[in-house]
Amino acid sequence: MRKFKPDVLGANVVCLAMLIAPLYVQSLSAREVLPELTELPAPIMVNANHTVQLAVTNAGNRLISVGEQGVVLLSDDQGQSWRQSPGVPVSVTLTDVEFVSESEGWAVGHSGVILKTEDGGEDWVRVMAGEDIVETINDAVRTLSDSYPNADIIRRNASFLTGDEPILDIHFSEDGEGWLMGAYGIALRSSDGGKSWESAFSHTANPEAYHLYQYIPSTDTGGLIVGERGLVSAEQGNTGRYRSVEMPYQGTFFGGMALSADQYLLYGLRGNVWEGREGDWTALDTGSNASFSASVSTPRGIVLGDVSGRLFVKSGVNGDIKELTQASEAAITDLLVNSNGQLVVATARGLKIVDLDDAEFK
Amino acid sequence: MRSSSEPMNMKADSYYNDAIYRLEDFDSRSGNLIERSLFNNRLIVVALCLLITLFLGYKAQDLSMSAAFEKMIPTSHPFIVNYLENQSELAGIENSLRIAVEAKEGTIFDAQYLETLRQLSEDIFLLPGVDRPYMKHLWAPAVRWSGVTEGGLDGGPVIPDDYDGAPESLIQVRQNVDRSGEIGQLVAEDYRSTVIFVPLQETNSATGDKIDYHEFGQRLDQLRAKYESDQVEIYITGFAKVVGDLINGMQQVLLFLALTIAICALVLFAYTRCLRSTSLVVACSMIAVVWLLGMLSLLGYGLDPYSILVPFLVFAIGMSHGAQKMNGIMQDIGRGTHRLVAARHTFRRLFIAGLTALVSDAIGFAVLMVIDIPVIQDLAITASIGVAALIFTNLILLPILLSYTGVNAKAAARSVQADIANQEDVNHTKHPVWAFLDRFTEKRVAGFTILAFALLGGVGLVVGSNVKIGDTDTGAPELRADSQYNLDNQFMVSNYAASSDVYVVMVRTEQYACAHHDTLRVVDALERRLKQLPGVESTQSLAGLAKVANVGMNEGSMKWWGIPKSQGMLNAIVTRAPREMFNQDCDLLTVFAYLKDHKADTLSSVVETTEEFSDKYSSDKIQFLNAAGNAGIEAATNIVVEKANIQMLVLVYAAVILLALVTFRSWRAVVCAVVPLMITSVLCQALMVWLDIGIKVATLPVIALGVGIGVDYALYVLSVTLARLKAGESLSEAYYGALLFTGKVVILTGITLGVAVMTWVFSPIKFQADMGLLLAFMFIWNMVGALVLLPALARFLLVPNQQAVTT
Repeated sequence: MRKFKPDVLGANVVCLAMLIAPLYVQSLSAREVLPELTELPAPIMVNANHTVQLAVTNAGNRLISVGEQGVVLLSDDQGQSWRQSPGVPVSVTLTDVEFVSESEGWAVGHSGVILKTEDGGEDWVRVMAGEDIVETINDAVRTLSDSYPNADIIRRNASFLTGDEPILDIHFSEDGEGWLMGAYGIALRSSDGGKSWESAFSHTANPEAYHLYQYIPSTDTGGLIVGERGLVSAEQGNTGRYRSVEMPYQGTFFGGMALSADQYLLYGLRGNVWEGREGDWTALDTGSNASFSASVSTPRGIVLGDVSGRLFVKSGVNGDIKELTQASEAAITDLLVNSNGQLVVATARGLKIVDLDDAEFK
Repeated sequence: MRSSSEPMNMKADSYYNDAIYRLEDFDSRSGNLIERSLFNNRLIVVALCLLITLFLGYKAQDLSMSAAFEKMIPTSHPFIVNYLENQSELAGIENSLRIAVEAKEGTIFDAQYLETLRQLSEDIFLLPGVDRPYMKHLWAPAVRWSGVTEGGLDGGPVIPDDYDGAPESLIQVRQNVDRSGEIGQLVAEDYRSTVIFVPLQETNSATGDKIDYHEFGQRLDQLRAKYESDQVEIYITGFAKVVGDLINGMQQVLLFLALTIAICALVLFAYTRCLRSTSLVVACSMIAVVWLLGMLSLLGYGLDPYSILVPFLVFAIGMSHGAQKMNGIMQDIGRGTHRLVAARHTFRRLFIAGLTALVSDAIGFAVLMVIDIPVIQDLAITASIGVAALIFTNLILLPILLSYTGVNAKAAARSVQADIANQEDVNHTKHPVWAFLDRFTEKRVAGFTILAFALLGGVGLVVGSNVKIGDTDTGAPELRADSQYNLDNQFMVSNYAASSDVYVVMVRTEQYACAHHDTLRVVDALERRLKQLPGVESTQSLAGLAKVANVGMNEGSMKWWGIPKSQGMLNAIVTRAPREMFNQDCDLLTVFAYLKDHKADTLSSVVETTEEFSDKYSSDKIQFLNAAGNAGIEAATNIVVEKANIQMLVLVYAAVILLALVTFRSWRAVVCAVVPLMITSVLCQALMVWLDIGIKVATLPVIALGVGIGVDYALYVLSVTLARLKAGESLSEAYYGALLFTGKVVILTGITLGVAVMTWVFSPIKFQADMGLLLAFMFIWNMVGALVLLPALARFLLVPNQQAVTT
């Protein structure tokens, strides 16, 4: 019986050696370079419906929402369900979306991305690179006459642009006039439905190169441009040039809407909501410290959303602003009323439907 | 022990006939050198043993207990190598405590609650080992609110400097909490509890002292007792608390040893009815345990939750061996032989056999050495030391002691009478159990038995193939689901945005490149991929933080969500980033993945995703390294364990088959001995599926120990049966004879081993309970297999041989 011992031990030694043998070797050979986000098609994601969504719009019966990582979400049932568009050629954050017809639409985003679709948001192509935007702007400001207000400053501001700046807003009016707003004062304008863009960089009364957050259209004037640090600009006559509008509040306006021909509602930093017209602005008491980020007109009045996810309703002219019990757990970024009269809320955690009929005040 | 019965049987008659009544008739120069040098110097041997026992007993008092967490880690797995290489720079990942203080009524915005929180945090501040500057709670100056104003960012401490507990102050606190970004982190979403975050320093940088986790855990429990009231409840989670609780649990387990000793002693006494010899066997087995503990202390080992189980096994094995020795001596004395002569004869008969048996038991343990997990290797070493101690205490010291004391005369006479009666009992009426077991040698019964076991084995195989790898429970799997710790953990998980399963990918970059846009872009890509996995609840990294910070630095506008392109902006973000996200040299980043659970599928999906990404995008400038965090370590452990499980099965069966082959020199006998073991192993895996126990570090040794020790039964029974078959008896006669001879010993061994490990079931440490249950199952089911399936197999495999011989 003792004889077996060496055998077993020997076998163990052999086995031991065999077990230790497969060494882990870390290979550093296979290489791929991760494309820049502007070159990387948006991946289809399992959690696309919970990504940061920044803007929502409609095109016929379809709703289209855009957000982080090049995610474009489409809904053909008025926002009850969403699917990710498979044909987005970039993975940058998309900040705004605008459709001019059922099929033709635009989306803009970080790194100067401008996308266009001809098929209702299924396939998108990048129509202009950030460098092109910068070139257009610089070409334009170079030709400015020295007598143009702040011409030197504007030229210098333009020279700092790199093409990586985020585009923050795109708008088309029905006559094909287009506006494109961005960080550091980027502004482009089109008069042919987006076929060609010209620089509006020097036209926005923005010598500080503040971020321009929104172009607010109006029915019969040229609308307002709002942005950083109380920047509000209105069209000077019918010239396409804008002049600075004196505001009683010097905090950033993120957006707003026209209430009538010359009456506006502007919202922005730290619970600020202002109503009125040039020279006659009234601050509305919201009782809130959080910045407002979206507004929409609904049958129950104007609904505002803020970055802490709360919804407010302003009913009637000079009416009170009241908070609703319905809220989102994440920052609200955009609002839309669908064809069922429901509120579609774009948030930092995807989209959400709020039934305005059930809405109750807090 | 296994072969002890074989020589007993074959040589018994000659020995018994040689009964030497008077000591003077015995030639003390007879026997081999070992026997003579031991038995002719009995006093010296006893005195030596006494001295060693006193010395080692004294040493054993210094034996330290540790949770040996670091030893449960497969240190040479590449994940762990990566982790250990970068460990010093991974601040605040592993070792921190989270202490939640819950307001039982109302909310945290209560003057009394905040006062309690302040006092408790001050007490915790004073605990040794706390990394004080980095402690976070509502009162900590580092916990601030911040808000965007027209002039830029504004902020201040959450509890303002002019806080006075008045209602206005409390409203201020509430506003600050809302703006602090700590909801879900330091403050529960329902405002009913807050967390004191306590980072620990394993080694005190000033004194070099290590944290005494046991003491630390006790101080925490004292604080808990001090502050818990009708208003406030306290929940503590974190590595240090788990360790403290484990060491507490180990001390409790040590108490079970007393229980084991008592039960085994009772079983043995019931078997022998001789108080004198029973006490001696117990004493010798305990001496072996003392030696084991003393040796461990001497060699610088401590007890950990695994090796603490070895004394139980050593004691139980010692009891079985001791019982054999005692049995031999008792029968000799019963026949009238002088006690010294009886002891020497028994020593002569059984020493080599016993030695072989113990050495081969050790092979079962030795197989464990191949597993690349230090705690299991320690277990193997500890067990080997214990078995070595048994050679001296139970094979040498015990017979010498018995040679002084002799045995109870009545018990001795009874054992001989029983033997004689058995030989006269031709119709097998005296032992209905043995007679019943003998029926398994009948062809029909044997056929059915084999069929039944085959069926059982088949079902076991199907069920057992679903056995999971890794831990299946939530929380700290080391502890029971209903333990205080895991209840506390449950509270944390349900009230805070923190998973207890954290997987960390380490990202190495060039120096100062951690915040380069290119680095963050790739890190972000990895993070996005991880987020796609169903098992990943959320992720965190400097890349993700940069997106949030970019929004913050642009007045909170979500349109800026994204990693800024501007390096200046990124640098500004890095200066505000928490320190666990990157290291001092800015060449190491961490990507945290918070997982839903730590099941094997979840872990392997994260591992695969990261490795695939790393293969694609690692370069000289950036490398993605698996893995830190408890889930990362568990993933590595799972990989090692899964591989080791197969290695272990192959090795332990190779060893057992070889052992049986050398012993029996017949493949048929090997089949008879090994097949019952295999069926037990298969059933054991099925049992694991049924009890939802995964294959993990703790269950790895079970099959090796179960098979290594379990083969003993088959060898006992089969060696006698084979010898009797060779002598011309029929299978039924041979088996019945084997049962008469060894049946009681088999059952005694099965019961003592089973009892010894069964007590672990009551351990507060979950994996000890799992081990106990599974080992008890293996020990007992192996015994059943040896008594029932073995004769049935023998009917078909051994009898044809025998008939060929007889006809």
